[in-house]
Amino acid sequence: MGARMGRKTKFRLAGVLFLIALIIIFYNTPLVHIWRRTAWLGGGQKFVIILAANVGGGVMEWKGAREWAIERDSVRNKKKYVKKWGYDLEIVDMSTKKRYAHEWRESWEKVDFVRSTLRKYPKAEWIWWLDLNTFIMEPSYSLQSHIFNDLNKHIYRDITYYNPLNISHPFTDDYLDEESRSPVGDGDPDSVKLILSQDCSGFNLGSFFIRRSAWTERLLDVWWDPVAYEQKHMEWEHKEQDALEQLYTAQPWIRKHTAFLPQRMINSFPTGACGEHGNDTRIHYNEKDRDFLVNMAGCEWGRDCWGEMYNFRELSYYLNRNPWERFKEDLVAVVWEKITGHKVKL
Amino acid sequence: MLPFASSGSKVTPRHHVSGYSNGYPRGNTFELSPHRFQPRLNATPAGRRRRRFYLRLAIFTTLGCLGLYFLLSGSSIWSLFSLGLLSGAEDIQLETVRYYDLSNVQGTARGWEREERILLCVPLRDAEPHLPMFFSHLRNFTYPHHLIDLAFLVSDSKDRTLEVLVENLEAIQASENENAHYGEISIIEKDFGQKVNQDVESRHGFAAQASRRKLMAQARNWLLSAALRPYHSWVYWRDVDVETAPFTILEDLMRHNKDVIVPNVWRPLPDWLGGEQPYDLNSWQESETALALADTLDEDAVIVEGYAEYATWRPHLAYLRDPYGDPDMEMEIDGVGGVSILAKAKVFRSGVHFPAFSFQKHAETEGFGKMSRRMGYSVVGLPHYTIWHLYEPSIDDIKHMEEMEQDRLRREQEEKDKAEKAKKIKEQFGDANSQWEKDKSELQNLAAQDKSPKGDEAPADGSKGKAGTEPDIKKGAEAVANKEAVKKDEGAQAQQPNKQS
Repeated sequence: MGARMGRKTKFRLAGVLFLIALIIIFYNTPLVHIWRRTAWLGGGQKFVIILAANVGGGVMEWKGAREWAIERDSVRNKKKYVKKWGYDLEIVDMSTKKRYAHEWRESWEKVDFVRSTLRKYPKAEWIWWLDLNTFIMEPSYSLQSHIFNDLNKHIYRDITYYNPLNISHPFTDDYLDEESRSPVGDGDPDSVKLILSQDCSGFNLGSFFIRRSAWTERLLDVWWDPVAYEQKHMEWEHKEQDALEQLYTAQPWIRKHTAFLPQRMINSFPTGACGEHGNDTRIHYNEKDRDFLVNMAGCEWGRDCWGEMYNFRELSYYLNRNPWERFKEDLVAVVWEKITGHKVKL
Repeated sequence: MLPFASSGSKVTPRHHVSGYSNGYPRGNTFELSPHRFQPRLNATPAGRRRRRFYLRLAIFTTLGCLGLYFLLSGSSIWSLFSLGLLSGAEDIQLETVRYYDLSNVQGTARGWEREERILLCVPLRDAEPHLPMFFSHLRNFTYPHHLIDLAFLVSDSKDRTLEVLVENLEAIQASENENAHYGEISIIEKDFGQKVNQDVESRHGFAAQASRRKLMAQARNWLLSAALRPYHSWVYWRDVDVETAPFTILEDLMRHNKDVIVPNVWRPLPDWLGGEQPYDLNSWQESETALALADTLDEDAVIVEGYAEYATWRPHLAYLRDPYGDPDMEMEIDGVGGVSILAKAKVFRSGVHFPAFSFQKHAETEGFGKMSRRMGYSVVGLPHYTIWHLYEPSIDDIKHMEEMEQDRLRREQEEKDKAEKAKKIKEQFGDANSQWEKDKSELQNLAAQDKSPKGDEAPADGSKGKAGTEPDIKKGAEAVANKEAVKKDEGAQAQQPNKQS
């Protein structure tokens, strides 16, 4: 048989076999995962996602079917994402505790959890905090390609670029050094230690990045300490978010290491949030632009969290269907419906 | 010496000439193994004597050994000869000595296959109205009934609890279906002087909790210590006022193979109260805050859960229920509620009980949970596996329900009145409608007749209208066609002025 096979056919056959081998390696072995995970190859180990789950935790209120469903979906979404790109996922328990409650506050939960996570994952460089009511719409974006490979292009350090809080920037005091008075710090992306986004009413900590560094340790210390913002947390509505705003406004050393991302890079809102003035292209999710992540911020105040989560989950699936799913849903199911008159879910 | 071996010859003959080595002459002898050397035994008198000596020695040794054995083992030699029928019975099978191997009753995940016995403990107090419901549950258990022993404690009851209980039990044990029969049943009566009334308001009031719970704990301990036998592998505590529970609850809980395990307990509510509600708040996880609170309290104080007086910040099992969740999901808990507890008997055997005092600021079942944890046993709750407690309306609820009932009656009355009124109106003025239409059409006819001499086109329209309406009117007054006809008529009328003008 070999004798009868032409030289060309042999090459073609070898090519097909090679292709099959590649497919097997790519889809059926952990090789890709290991590659993406390794710090000096894909770099996945450098990123840890903290997901704030079990909000409330059955202490003061019931955790009913909807809350469980939201948690299931949100956790599954992040687990899949993390598995795909070789990151680590740390699911933290946000159940209500007296020591985090307003009147008795010893600390902010976020601060404590960021600290313990940095300790738990010694290889982690960036920590990405995510609230429970978030959904990664485009799992095919890796954090590296989406943000970190070209950090300087995406971030803005001069808050006057978008400044809903009207924070005066930069500092002008004479006693400050050159770097603190500069609107963009030292301009080097390596000096950025905290990346967050701003919504219509200021800082938003539903989705932010923080980098392992001495500066971060100091920030977490100060953030934690009520003395640094004059015990105002009883007046503030947004807890640690307001505290951070206060620190940013008052402390030059914090400002020069903080950077912002346009909100829709990491934190798109559904129309229900910040929606008093209609749809805002800087804030709200748009499926045509394939925004990375949706944060259903404030949905527990009078909106339907589970409904929104379900819609975005289905939308994300719809936008990211693979060819087989497209084939069976857009062709087979439609044809079947035409023939039989019944809708089918394949 | 062989007979033919010549002393000088160096060659030994390969075959004996005259016969075999046994010395017999060669002939037509048949032997199975003719070629074996068989020395003639005890040919000499000395050999015979030696042999006899060995034989006697063997007999004496054997007898001596046997005698020694019976002497040491302490049993009668006579049993040897009477085959054990005459003697030995009284000291081997003493009625008062029982042998149990407790390693056989540790409790496993598949107890129903290994025939593990369960002790089902039920404390009762003024429970007469709930007993029929309880017995319907009892009949439905799928766990083999003969492996379940029942133990009831009837205390401080003023109603017919005991009588009804006995009647029901007799009915079950006498039922024709053998599989329905339970194992051993104990009923224990003991009054503890419980002063708190058994109605909802007093039972669940804050002030009554501590002392009430301590007495309950005593009752449970009395019941258990009286009823627990060495052959029990599991103990199942169950309240009588459980309304709905799976028949397989014993197997379902046992399957987890935990030392102490409880399901989630909710209760149904009437629709105007929201349909359902967590009931048993005594199953919880310990929190730092509650530990700190416990440190500040008096030695004898008892923290009771679910009251505003003690803010404990504990995650409650009952608050964590997902109706669509996995019923096998487990949650580590510290305090347990007493509505339905399945525990391995070894937990109780090792000394864990229901503290009737303040154990780490808790009593009764919550104290039991904490004590089990302290002893290193696993205590687990199933947040998504729910049983339903009976809904007993509180006084406020009853008041509200009475108001609602009155409201409903009033509304019904109103509706009835309205309906009657409408009916009356219809009866009295019902014909007016058709009468009016008849009159109207006649009027129109008259009008048409009046008009006909005046206009040229009008009579055609008028006659058309007339032709359309008249037969309908004859048919029936209330017919829809009639109304349509009238409309047509009116339309015709409306058109007429236009045409005329």
